[in-house]
Amino acid sequence: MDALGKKSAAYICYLIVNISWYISCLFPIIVPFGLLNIYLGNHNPEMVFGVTVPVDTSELLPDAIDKSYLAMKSAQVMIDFNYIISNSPASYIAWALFICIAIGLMLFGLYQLRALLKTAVHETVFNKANVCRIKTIAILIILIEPLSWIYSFIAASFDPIVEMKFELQILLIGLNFGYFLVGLLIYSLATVFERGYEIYQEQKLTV
Amino acid sequence: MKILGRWSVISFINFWVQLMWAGVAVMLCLLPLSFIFQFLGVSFVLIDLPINFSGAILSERLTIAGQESSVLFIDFVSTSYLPAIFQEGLNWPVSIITLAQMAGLGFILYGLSQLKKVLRNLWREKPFADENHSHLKVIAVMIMLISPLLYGYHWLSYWYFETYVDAQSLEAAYPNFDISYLIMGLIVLVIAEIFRQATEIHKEQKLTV
Repeated sequence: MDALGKKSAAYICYLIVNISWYISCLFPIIVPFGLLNIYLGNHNPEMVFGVTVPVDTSELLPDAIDKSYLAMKSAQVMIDFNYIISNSPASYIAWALFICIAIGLMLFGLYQLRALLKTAVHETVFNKANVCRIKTIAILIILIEPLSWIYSFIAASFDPIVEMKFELQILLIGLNFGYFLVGLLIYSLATVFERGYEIYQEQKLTV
Repeated sequence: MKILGRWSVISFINFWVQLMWAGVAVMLCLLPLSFIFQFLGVSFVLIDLPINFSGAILSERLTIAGQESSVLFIDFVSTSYLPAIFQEGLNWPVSIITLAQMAGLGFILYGLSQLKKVLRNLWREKPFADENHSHLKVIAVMIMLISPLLYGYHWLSYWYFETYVDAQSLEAAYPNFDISYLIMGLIVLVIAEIFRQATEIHKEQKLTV
């Protein structure tokens, strides 16, 4: 399979990213409107909607289960919007703002990737804009982990308002180097790409 | 910030990849031992198996006192278990799992070796080395293969859990197919091709000079 040009790997990627892009374009319209609607009290009580938060799993398994063989890795609970708004509206607003910013950043990253793949399909990859695009994508990937920390800090602010039958702690996410290393690697590849672009420019001038 | 060469960003990434490679190599050396022990009557598995549960069975423990239903579980809860404990004189299911884990670790080790080669070239400030694009292509194909392999591994774990584990009320959820690795692999394939083109341009430029 060819990697660049039409009917290639780049083209398949471009199609998938393009579909994701058009679907994601609906988010900045639907999500803020929906969140505002919920805040103003127009939320349908029949619908199950809420804030998803990671929780401490140490006490989640029922007592009857033998815990010597089963180790819980992760669990997420959904706290109902109405409950949060009635108990802590400020936490809800902070969470909603964070979600809107995160959607904005995701869309920005997706747009950069889409533009990059578009040039790959048209076989005009070596241009200055692509260097910036790859660097932007790398920085956004590096930002994923700090953003998840911020999310878990906001989620942790729900902890005091949720009184459980048993001790339930909303979890702070630990250190995960994965995204950081991938981001750095892409940034490094962007530098290599920049060198490639410079050589390409020199070659064009020579010819 | 220095990107390529010694004491650079690449050097830092290379260090982490080397460390991961060493960790995987050690695990791969230990797994055959556990495989041999199966036939000596000692049954143990070093790496635990992933299994997901439907959150519904735990919802009883997550209702807020005095409230109707403010806290709800979403789709599933991710857990892991050690399979050897449930053995009842049968060695072959655990042996299959050990073999699958060995194959998986070998696969990861080979992928990391390819990545190490690319990083070494970048560390030596030879980004346009001939072999870089072929290493990247191998990495791309391997990343694409992760999705079906991981899906198969999850099914193996699900089959073992359903067949041999007496989990009382716990109901395991079906594994999900993760498409993200396929897309990631395709993107790496595109990067590999860009590398190939850059290498060609670099060669031509060298010839021109």
